[in-house]
Amino acid sequence: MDYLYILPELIIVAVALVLLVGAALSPKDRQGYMPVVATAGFLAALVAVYPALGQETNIFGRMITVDGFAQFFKVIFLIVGVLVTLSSAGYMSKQKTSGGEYYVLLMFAVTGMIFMASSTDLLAIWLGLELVSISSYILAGYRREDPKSNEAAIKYFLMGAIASAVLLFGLSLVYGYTGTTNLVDIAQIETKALAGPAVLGVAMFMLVAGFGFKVAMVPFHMWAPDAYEGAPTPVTAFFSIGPKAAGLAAMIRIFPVGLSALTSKWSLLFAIIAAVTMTVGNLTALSQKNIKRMMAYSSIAQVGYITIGLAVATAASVNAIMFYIMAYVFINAGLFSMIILLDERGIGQKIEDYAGLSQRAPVAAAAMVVFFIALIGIPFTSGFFAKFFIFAAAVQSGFMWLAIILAVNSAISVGYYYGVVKAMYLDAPKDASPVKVPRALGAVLLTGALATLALGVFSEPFIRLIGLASLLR
Amino acid sequence: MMLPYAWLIAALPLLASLAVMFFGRRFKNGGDFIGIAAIAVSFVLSLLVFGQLAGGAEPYRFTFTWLNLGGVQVQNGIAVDNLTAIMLVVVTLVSMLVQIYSRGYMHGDVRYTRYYATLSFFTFSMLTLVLADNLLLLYIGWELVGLSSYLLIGHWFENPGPRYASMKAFITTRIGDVGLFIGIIILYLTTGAFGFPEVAAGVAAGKISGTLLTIAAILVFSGAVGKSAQFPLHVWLPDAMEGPTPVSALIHAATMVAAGVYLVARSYGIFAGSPTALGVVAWIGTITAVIAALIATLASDLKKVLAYSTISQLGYMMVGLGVGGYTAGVFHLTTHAFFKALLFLGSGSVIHALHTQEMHEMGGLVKKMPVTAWTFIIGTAALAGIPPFAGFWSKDEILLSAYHYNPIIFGLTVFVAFLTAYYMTRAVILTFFGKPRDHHKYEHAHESPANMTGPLVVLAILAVVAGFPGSPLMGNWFGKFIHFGEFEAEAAVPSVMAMAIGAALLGILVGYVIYGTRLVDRRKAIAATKPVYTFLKHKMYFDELYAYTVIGGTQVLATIAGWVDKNVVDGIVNAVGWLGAQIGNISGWFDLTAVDGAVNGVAAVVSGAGRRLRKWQTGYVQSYALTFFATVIIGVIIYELIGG
Repeated sequence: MDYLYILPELIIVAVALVLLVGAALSPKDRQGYMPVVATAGFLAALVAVYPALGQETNIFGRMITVDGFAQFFKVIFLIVGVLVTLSSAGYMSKQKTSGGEYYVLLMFAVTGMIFMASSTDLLAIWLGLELVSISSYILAGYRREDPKSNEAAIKYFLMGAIASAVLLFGLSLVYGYTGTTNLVDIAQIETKALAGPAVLGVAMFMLVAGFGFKVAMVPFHMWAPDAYEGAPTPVTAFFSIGPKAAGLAAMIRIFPVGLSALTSKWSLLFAIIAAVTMTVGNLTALSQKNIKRMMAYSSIAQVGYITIGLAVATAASVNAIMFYIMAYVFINAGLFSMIILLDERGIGQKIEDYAGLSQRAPVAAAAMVVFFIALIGIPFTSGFFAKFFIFAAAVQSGFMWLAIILAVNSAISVGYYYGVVKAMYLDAPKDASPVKVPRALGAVLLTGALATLALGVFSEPFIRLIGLASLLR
Repeated sequence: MMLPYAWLIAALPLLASLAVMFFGRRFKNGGDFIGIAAIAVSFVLSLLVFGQLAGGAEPYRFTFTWLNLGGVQVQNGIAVDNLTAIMLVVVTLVSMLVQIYSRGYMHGDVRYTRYYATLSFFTFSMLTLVLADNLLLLYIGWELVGLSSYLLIGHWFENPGPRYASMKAFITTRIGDVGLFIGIIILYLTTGAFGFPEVAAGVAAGKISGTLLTIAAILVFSGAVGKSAQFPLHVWLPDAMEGPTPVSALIHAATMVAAGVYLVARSYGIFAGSPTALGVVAWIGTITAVIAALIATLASDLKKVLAYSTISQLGYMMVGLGVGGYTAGVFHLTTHAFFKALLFLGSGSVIHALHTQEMHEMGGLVKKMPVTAWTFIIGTAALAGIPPFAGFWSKDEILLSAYHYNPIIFGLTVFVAFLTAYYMTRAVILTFFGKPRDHHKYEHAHESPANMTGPLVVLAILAVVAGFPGSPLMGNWFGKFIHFGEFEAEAAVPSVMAMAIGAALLGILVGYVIYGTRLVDRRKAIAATKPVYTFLKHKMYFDELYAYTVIGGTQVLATIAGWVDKNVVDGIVNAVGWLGAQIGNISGWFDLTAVDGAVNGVAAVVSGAGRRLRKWQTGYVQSYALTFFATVIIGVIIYELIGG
């Protein structure tokens, strides 16, 4: 039964549809159950991943692939779903707009992400991407009464549509030349046959641009800071981890696996993009005053680090990307839970609004320090191993220059992360009243911090797990 | 087999700590029963582990690859051998009794739940330290117990005293920890391992020897000096008495402060290679024992007497280890844990009743609090070394080892035995006998509730019997169980035993004559010994010395550093910061101006000059889109031209 393999997706879609009806039937002030149901749906889907673990097959006419790689990302995305839902509950209940469709859109987006990671067919990947994108456009503009949110949505939508068009054009060129949309078949075509015509180079470039837009690589990143700043903060949290991780998963399917014959061509391209993305992200983050904008540039920089893994394109580097994404999901979800809280309480989005947070919410401030330490890449946090594995993979494959740029960049990043830590610990608060952390956000914060420390202390079992799920061997 | 499940002993208190922290407030009693239940199970498990090893089971070790960094594998794991088993029983038992006792003592405290959560967390950390099979995990546990100690000393952080004391404890012990960490690194670099057996094997194989080994061993010992409050880092422990008394009993008497002694015992294989390092251990222990015992003779705060006594007795254990009496040192650690916890909890019972720690405001309490008084007296007898109480047997073994090692150390330790008996007699008489000196407080005094006296009785029984396993009466069973190298029963030397008993009895007699009778006029005695009295009353001016030298010196250095910081480093930092900001600005400016400008230029050409572009509606999004397309097109062109 093919349907058994997509049980998690079916559960999410079913729950989303139930919520859609529920949103229409229940008034705004009676929708407190929605995040609970959504969380339950994600958790049920997580359980439903179990029966398919360890299996490898193709279903639905080779449109969907069941393998370790897909299961790995399925689990990651479902965890993202849970964390974002928990982070959203308090914030969304305070919005004027009805919260109902919010969770539905979130669930659709997560479904799209799962399809992106679990398909070896270009068309299915593209469909998944569109499902994520269209849900994301609406989510970005969810605060209808807020002009900034509207601006973010429209910018994101217009740019996204263009990127999708370019991507689709690139895909059509690939199909036109190879006669198939299946990446496994494309990989079978001999190197010479593929490497010859210029048209495939053009197609490849379009794919890089299209996906580069989705994961915000420089120079396709310009929408990101605006969208991050304008979108409702829980949505920003989602953008910074969900669609990004899905885009990277699809890129691993397409480039190192599907277009492996063209490695010599896209490898250098990704190397350059990685170097530029890291540097631009970090340098621009230095001068940001708004923490959401700072985190937007920070996440651009993080994608830059991950892109090194794509450029290197060895088994080690792909594993490193997977570890990085796993670590990054928990770090950013945890970090954003506090940004959401301060935004929700009206304390602010500026870095100066974080002054004296160590006195107002000591545990939360300490957890934030853990996240920043991890983002910098200091030992005993997951961030250290994430960077270390990328670094090691780059050095092993002779990309010494990229490794050096990574090290320099991670030193630069101390500058802006430290700014927030300094505000929290050294600056006096304008208002010393304690900030109480609600239970749902506290759970996200704590899960993030514990996972960050656990991955930093016990990386070994996870590395082994990723080794099992790896696409390249 | 129980041994493979030994990790549960540490895991249960951790789970309890988390459970109490998050859900404790929902329960009527702040979740205290969760902590007590968990530690009780841990205690039973520890007993089972102990029983199996005592029954001749092979020690158990579990390791796994913790880190795999580019070919360098770092192992981590736990080990359960005889030494661990003894420590497990001691830690879980005292911890359990203290948690039960705290139900009475901390009743109604504002941060009752937090207190229990931290207490369980401490127990977890201490058990991790004990279970570690390698220096790295031990170090992690070591830091975690330090953290718990800091949190618990500062439990009443509204008051300046606890706040200051917690900082002092944390910083002072950290000085030793730095040394310990450097020592660990040296050992790793030379022997290539963190595990205790591997490091010891490396030392035995001569991978590290001579001066470097001595340095490494002394660095490891410096960690013990900080944690076990040895001279010259002993100053934090008396101040740590600002914490709740059950905490003093658990952490600052029975377990954490003994971690230093445990560390030396656990890494004895390293010390065995360097007689010099062992000599340092012995001498530091001796100096500490003498100094602390002298100061204790004049302390007027009941808990401070016990604190200095603890320092002194920890010095005793170090002497035992330093002079080659491995078994003796560990044995004294065990018995001391029981009777010193008893004395602290007894003092806590008194403080609970009188709301004062000053012995000048006590007196005559034996009538009001018989259980507290008599258990306290049993503890005193054990500490003073009166046969057949527990302390006698362990102290005697240390004296015996010292006797064979060095006459000066032996003489000083006998002197300390005399002082110990003296100051404890003084404390007992001032607290429980004579006439009440503060009638108001005396009238309100009452015996403590059963959940406080119960643990006292249990510990009192242990203070009587815990010494027998190490005595000839039971054929030196303890020595056969815990020994370094081959077991060899040391023949008892009757003269040593006689001197030990004599010193103790003399101490009690002198104490009784001065404080129990009117034969000596204390004012005259004080006047006659004014300089010595003042010197000891000021705790030998250690705090003042450190204030002037270390802290004062640091302040001078800080002033200098501040100046350098302001004028040199700040300049550099500012320059770098300015540069960074400029680059950031340029990059931002480039994004906005150059890219947008170029794009806008193109846009202007495309859409016809003269049309003013509105900011986000047309201008920005269009420019973004154009950048996007421009990049793709220019990229493809360059790519096709160069790469083909």
